[in-house]
Amino acid sequence: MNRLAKLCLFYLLCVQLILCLTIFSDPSLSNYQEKNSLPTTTEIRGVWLTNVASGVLFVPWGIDRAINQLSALNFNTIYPVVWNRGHTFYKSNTAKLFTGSDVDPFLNAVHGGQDVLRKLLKLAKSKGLTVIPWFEYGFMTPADSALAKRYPDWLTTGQQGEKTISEMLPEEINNEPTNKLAWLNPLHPEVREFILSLITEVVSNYDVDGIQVDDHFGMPVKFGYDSFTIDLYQKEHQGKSPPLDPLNPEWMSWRANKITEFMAEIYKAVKEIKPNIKISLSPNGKAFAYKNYLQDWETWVKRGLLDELIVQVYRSDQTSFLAELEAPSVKFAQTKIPVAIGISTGTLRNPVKIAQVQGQIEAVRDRQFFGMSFFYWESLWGYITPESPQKRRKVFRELFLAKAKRPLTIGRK
Amino acid sequence: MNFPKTPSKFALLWMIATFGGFLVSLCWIEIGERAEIGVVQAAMGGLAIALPQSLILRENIYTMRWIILTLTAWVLLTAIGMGAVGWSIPASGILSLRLYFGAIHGAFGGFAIGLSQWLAIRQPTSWAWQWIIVNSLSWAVALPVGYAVGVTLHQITRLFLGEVIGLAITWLIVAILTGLSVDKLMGE
Repeated sequence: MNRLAKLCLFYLLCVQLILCLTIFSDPSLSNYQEKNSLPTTTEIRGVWLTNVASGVLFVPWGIDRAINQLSALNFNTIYPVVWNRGHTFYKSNTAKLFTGSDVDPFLNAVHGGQDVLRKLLKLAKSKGLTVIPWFEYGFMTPADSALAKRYPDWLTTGQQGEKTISEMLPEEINNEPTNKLAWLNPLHPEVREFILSLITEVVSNYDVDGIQVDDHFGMPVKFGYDSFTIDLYQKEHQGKSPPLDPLNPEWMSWRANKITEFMAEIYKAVKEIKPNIKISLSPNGKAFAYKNYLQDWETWVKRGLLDELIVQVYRSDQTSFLAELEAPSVKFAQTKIPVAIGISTGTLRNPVKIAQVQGQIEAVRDRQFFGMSFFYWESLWGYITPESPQKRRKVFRELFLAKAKRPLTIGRK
Repeated sequence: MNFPKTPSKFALLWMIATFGGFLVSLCWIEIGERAEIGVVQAAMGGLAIALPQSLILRENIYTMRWIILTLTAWVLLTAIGMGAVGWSIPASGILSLRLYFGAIHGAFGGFAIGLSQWLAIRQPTSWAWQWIIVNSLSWAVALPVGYAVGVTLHQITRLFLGEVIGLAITWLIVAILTGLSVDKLMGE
């Protein structure tokens, strides 16, 4: 073919290219068109952003992409991690003082020293999203973290002096590899001061809508046999040592009450700084939370220490999921504060089909909850799901057709 | 004709450019089923591949033309309903269907890509027309293999990530086969 013919073909193809790009709309991009509709319903539509098995905080434009997509699909709340594995995910003077680094070193390197929480807040606020920083690790910390090494007396221990415990309970492990982690003692005044300081600096320094603690804001029931706790128990029990049975009701109740006291301290301190900020808790079911982590959240609700409760109900079996929604403690909490349900959208090891997520959202709505939050961002519509990302977004688009506003805290009785 | 690189180094660079182009494209393009990938994404994909390739081949091609025509090939394939070959997967999870349609779509898609790129090769280049056949055959082999690996991993792990790995394997095979071929053609 001569050169002229080739040139003609080239121009013909260029015209075809322009025509195609003009005529054929791109379905996956048009889905992100912002809808400027006013909220027509009240519902928490949240998602947790974590650094574990997730690239959202680390890949280029990860945060921007997440916020744009969540906003376009009418989500209204983000719970970004700010405390995990002994590191903060914001610039923290407290962390610098106690651990030597003011922020997670890898996060800092990836973002060239930029304050990620500030960036996230700026992006999210411009889209009208509520941001409630999540102190994911609570009192947990890796045994090799700077915190655990610098302050070994801050750690609580088991009866045999064991300093770490599996992240998962024996019945949940299923022969899968699991991390063992140390626990800061929630009864220790210096630990309390440290955790409280982390929380108050987030509240003071950032334009956040609330703070959230979760199921790790407690103490493993088998722990509490460290010298500090034993001394304290003896002081308050006429020299008597704690029972050898970690499940002894009085011993459990004593430790749980101490954690409740600390929660009250946090509530007071936060409200003194910003009275309208929300204190959110995302625990496991009440019986589980108390039995395993001494977290007596029903009492926290009764005492008015929480503004929002997101109960984690990560069940694949619908019957078991529904049973958790019907639990008396959950029903009771519904009469006091906005209660939403934490729904699992899957993990790398345990992917969840979108049909299951859809069924659970519908069940939550049928039972008049104040919404739902999904664990976690990467499995909402990432590649670690059974379906294609577009297919999953389509389901969320249909379920969240219009924007929704978040509930106000209802008056306490 | 002057070749700036020794053949083996050239082939390696070509493979890195092609496969690397695909990996970089994943920053903008979300892998999906055929109907889920639009023409704009196909254009971005074509650009991600054509740009690094044009740097490697710059002495034998018209650079701008190579980029535009490669991009056009993918856009047209998507517009006619064949899908953004290399970024989309078939909806069917049946292995035999995937192998069959992978070979057909690969042969046709590769032919279209090769034909477009042929228009950008500087004359007189004796091997120009053979580039069309090389592309067609490479894609006809690589696409069914990638589809098969993808669906197998998807079914085993229950993760869509398996399909992404399958397509990465497709691109790796395409990069190797076209790299070795272009190396040989240039040597001749």
